[in-house]
Amino acid sequence: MRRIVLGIASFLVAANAFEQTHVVTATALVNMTMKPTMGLTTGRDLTFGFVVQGVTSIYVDPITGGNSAAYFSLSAPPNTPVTVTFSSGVLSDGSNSIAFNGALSGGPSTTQNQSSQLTSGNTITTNSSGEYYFWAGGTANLSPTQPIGTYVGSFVLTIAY
Amino acid sequence: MKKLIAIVALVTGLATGNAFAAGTVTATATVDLTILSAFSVNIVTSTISLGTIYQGTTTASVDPINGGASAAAFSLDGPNSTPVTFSWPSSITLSNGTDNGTFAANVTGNIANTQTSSTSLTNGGPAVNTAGSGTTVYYFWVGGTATVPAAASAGAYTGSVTVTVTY
Repeated sequence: MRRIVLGIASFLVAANAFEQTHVVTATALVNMTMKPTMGLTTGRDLTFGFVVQGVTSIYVDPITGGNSAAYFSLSAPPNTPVTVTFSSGVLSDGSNSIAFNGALSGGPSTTQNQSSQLTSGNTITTNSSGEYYFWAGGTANLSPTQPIGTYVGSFVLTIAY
Repeated sequence: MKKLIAIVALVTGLATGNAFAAGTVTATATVDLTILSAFSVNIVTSTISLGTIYQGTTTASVDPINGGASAAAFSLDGPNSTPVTFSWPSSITLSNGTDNGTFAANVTGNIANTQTSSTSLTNGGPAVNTAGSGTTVYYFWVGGTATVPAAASAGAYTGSVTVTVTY
C-alpha cells in the first residue's frame, strides 16, 4: 500500500516538467479618427470697410470680393448633399440701421474666384474629402444722410443635412 | 451556421457607420461697415511764388519742404486714419500771354502742420493715412520747378496746378 502512493506522486512531477512554454507577443496599434458629423467654421468676417457719407449703396461680391468677403468652411461626410440657407438683417450702430442683403458663393475648392453664386435654399454636394467652402458678401443700402459711425451686423449661414 | 450569423452582423455594423443623423449646423460672420464724413480742402496759401528771374534764366524752383510761404499750402478736414491718394498733372503750362513755359509740381505732406518735416508724396499713390485724431487730418504743400525757353519774353508767367485727393 505504501509503495503505490509513492508511484503516483512521481508521475505528477514528471508531467509538470514537460509543460514548459515560451511566449512571444506582437502588438498592433489601433488608430481611428472620429469626426463630427458636420462642422461649419467661420474663417473670416465680412468687411465693407469705409464709406463716405452720401454713398447710398455698397456691394461686396462674394466671388471677386477677396478678403472683404466672409469665408466659411464645411466639413462633412464625402459626397453628401446638403441644403444651404443664409440670412442677413440690418447693420446697426446702436441707434441707426442700414439694410443689408447678403450674397453667397460656394465651391468644392478653396479658390474663391472659382466659386459659384448660391441662393438660399440651394443644395450642394461636399467633395470627395467631405469639404465645401463658402464666401459671403452682399449689398448695404444707406440713406444719403446716414449718420457717421461704425455699423455692425451678422451673416448667418445654415447647413441642413 | 454560427459563421453565417457573424457575417450578417458585420454588414449591419458597416451600414450603421455610414449613416448620420439629420440636423443643421450654423456659422455666423460679423459684418462691419464704417461711414465717414466727406473730406474738404482748406486753402492756406494758394499761390506758388517762384519769384523773379532775369531773361535768359531758364528755371526757377520752390522747394515744398523748405520753401516756406513761397510754396502753396493746403490742409484736409475729414475722417481720421483714412488712406488718401494725391495726384496732380506731371506738367502744366505757364504763359505770359505770348510765350509759354512749363511747371512740374512737387507735393509733400504731413499729418502735422509742420512743413519742414513733410515728406514727398508720389503722384498717384501709394496712399497715405490721415491723422488718427483731430478735425484737420492732413497738410500738404506744393512747390515745383518752372522751365522757360532761354528766349522767352519778359512778363508775368502764370498757370494753375490742381492737386486731386482721392479717398
